[in-house]
Amino acid sequence: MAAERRIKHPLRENSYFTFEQRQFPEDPEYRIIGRNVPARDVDRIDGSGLFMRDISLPGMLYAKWHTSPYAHARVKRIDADGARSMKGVIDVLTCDDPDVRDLFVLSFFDTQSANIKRPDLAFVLPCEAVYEGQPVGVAVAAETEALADEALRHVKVEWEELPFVVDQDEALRPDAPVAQLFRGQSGNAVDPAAAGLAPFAPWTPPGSTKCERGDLERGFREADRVIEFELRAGTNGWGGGGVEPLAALAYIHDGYLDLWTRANVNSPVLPGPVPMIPEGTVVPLAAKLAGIPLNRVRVHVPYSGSSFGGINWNANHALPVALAVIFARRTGRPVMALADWTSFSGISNEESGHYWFKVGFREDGTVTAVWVRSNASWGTSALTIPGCDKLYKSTAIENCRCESVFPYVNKAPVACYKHGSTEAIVFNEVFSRVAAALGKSPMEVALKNDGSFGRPMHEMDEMKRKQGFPTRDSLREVVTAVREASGWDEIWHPPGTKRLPNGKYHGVGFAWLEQWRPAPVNSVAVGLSAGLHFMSDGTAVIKGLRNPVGNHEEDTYCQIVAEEAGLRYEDVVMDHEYNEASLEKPGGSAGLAMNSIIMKELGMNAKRRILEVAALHMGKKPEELEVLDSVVFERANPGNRISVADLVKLYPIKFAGGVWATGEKTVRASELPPTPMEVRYWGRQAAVLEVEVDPDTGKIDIKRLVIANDVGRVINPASVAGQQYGGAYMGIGRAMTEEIVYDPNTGVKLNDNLTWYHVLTMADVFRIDAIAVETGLGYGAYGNMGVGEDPNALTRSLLRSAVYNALGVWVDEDPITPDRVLKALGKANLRAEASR
Amino acid sequence: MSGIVGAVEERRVIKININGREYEFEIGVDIQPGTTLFELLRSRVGLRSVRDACLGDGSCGACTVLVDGDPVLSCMMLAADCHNRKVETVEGIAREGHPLIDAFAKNYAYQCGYEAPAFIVTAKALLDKNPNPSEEEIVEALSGIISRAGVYPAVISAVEDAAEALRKRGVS
Repeated sequence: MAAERRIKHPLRENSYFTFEQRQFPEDPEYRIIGRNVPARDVDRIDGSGLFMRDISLPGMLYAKWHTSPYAHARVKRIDADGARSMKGVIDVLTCDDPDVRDLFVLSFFDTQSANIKRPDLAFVLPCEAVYEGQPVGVAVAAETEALADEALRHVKVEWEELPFVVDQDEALRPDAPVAQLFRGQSGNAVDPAAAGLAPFAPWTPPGSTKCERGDLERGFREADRVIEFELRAGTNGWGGGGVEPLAALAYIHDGYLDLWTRANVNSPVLPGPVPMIPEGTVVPLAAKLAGIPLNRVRVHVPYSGSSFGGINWNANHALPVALAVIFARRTGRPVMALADWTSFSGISNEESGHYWFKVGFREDGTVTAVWVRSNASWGTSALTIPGCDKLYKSTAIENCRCESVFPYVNKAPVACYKHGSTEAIVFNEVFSRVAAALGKSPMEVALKNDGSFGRPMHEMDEMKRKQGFPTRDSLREVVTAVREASGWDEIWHPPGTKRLPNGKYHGVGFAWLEQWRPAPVNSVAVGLSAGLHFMSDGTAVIKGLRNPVGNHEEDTYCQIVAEEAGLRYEDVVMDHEYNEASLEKPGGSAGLAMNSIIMKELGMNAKRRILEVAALHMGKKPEELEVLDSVVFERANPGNRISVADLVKLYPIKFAGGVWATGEKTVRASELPPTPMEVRYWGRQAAVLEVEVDPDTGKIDIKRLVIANDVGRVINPASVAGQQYGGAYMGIGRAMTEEIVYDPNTGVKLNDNLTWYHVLTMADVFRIDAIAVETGLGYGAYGNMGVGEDPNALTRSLLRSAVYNALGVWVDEDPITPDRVLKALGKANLRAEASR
Repeated sequence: MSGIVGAVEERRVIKININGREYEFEIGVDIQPGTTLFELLRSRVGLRSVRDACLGDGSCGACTVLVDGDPVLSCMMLAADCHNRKVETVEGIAREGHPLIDAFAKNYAYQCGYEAPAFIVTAKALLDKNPNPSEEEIVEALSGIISRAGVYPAVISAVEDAAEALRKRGVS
């Protein structure tokens, strides 16, 4: 390992508010990769950039719609005459109108299925709502937003309230009301096999509700000890669907549809009566609804106010598009559809569930058998059955069974949102409890059980070599990093034994995790492409699907292209209007890492073109030339040179059409494994958290977090840092304060506002030491791998072990709020309490 | 309440200085008595930086602007109450070349940037009154604004950098 270089920027050391990023030294091989670059998109913050709701066209109408005040209700009758008679109200659309009747968009988990199974959650404007906040009943288009609001108040809706259930355990009782009927099924427990739904994980049989390997009973027999425990997790996830309220703008004119929609236009969307469209996106939907050929749709993607994966997956995001287009076609005017809801309205139900664990292990910490049962959120389980992702594939546990029941409840559909929290919780519960039972350091237990699909990591070197990777041990590196940085050996202590002078208990927790998703999961060639156009001023413009979700991805793309093409960073920009070439497949995980491969290929192709043209101009062979900082020169005679800008001016025809990268010739650190089963997850993350817990109030004070993320390769340090500390604040907040509370009597959310749903603010933040480890074990360019989800998922699962270490009792409910801490204390004999 | 309504009714024309420019709005014509400052700035003046995530319940902080130098939630303030007052948004702050903009860019103190203008205007108010704030004072000043991406550490750093730049300029 090379000597560490500490980056003081962006925050100073030795402050309670410190963020410190450490990484390995800048690689002299690269001019731009691994170095901080100025952020380009300042127009996001100075008022000059366009967010969705900033856009206005002459004659534009405003569309709004009802949302359900009930958890489950049917529209019996609508009297919209009052709205229709209002001056300035141009159109009224009711749920029985042929334009919206039976029109639905797909929720993400149905994308594998040509036979659409579950239209109920994603109807554009249904007559029955299955969760509070769902768009339902009636929509209006008016001259102003205020008029649209007023018109909705003049619509009389007669509701039939229906039985509801919001608790997943209650939903499985025989007498439970049916929350929402899954087509072809009779109750709340969804049978994926009957529904024909394929789970995400390729190692799980299609339609199965479990994954299994080895001999579970033998594993328990071989164990020295067996423990059983359970855990309940609530619903949170504000902001996953976007902090900026959803909106879309459609304008049909001159045979074209101009469509403004938020960041990712690859949302898997289909109109109901239309047969499956391969690689369906919101654009075909809009074209169909507008009656416009697909080749006459122009898509514009403004900035969006937060986007954490949900934009790609949640069908709710397509609803404004559908209504904007329908109204635009009916009225002949531009229509801005404004979702009159916050991110709470369609809050993701990703994490909620009830989990039961049975774990067998030896005295040395080796886990011999794990059985995880869960009654978990349907959407999460459709992505993977809890435990079937991280626990199954990135441990050495030989005997493993994870199975789930999937109840529907009257909550909004699931959306991915810095995904992985649920899997991280299941994963770390196993190892934290084993370490606690043995009185061993959880780091030791982690290293004992690290592996891949049931084989220890130390047996995987041959496979790493075969795939072209270094034989580095990622977990050992990240564990070493957090152990040293946190002073673990000095701060870790037996549970419930360190009471502080302030009366609180000190605790320290540890969690680890695989990288969330390698890039690419599948062949990178599928659907990805980008171009680079050379301008006569010497700049080069990247042409690819704009996806400005906010992780400074465009800066990173420009870094890679500039690095590979031999251009200056400031000479490479990204086109903000071009949206034809596809970058980042539907879905957000590791999207930047995936696209890094395309960008590297693009830069290499650009360099090849530049040198070919320069060779023509200079009378040399391309291999005799080099391009650096946007200047081509002769290797043997550096004084013989010409700028790229002059080359483009002299030979415009040679640069016409630019260069393209399609992923057919992938550029990566390794040879891409040919099948998904051969893609392994080599990267690891680890974190240490120090807390103080007040035994009288249950309040938890976060004192310090040390987190190490193996990102494979840092391309843009400041961007990586943002994902590290940002994800950590989100993860700790979701573990400690964020939870939606549903009224059991009405099924309505009780705290769907930012006053009573507590997102961490500056006043809550704490010291973070973030370490970016670079092993090169990712499938992305330069061996990089996605970092966006890891810090959130990792820290989301970290708090419980720290609280246990403080108090000596486990808090079996999540998030860990003060009342739950006190409840746990009341149920247990707290060793430390006894000594008071 | 009746006093406020009465005052508004008597005052038919509202004069507001927005980012250094004088505006007049006639109540009942340009705006209504219940028009909020947020609505006025976005809809009548076209200032895009004034944003909201909570649809007007005052809990997200994204719509923060300066009124007579103090940060206020523009969704919680009536436009009519801004008569003869000075309103600043990030557009004005950027136009005057305030170092906060560069400091935010340099520090990557935003991701989506949706709430960044609120941080910037609030930091401007802080630095106007306290050119050398401590971290605790920055936290105290900016803790009413929510960032889902958790950009807080970089924001602190950006404010400190801007303060240093201002001190170097000799501007307090």
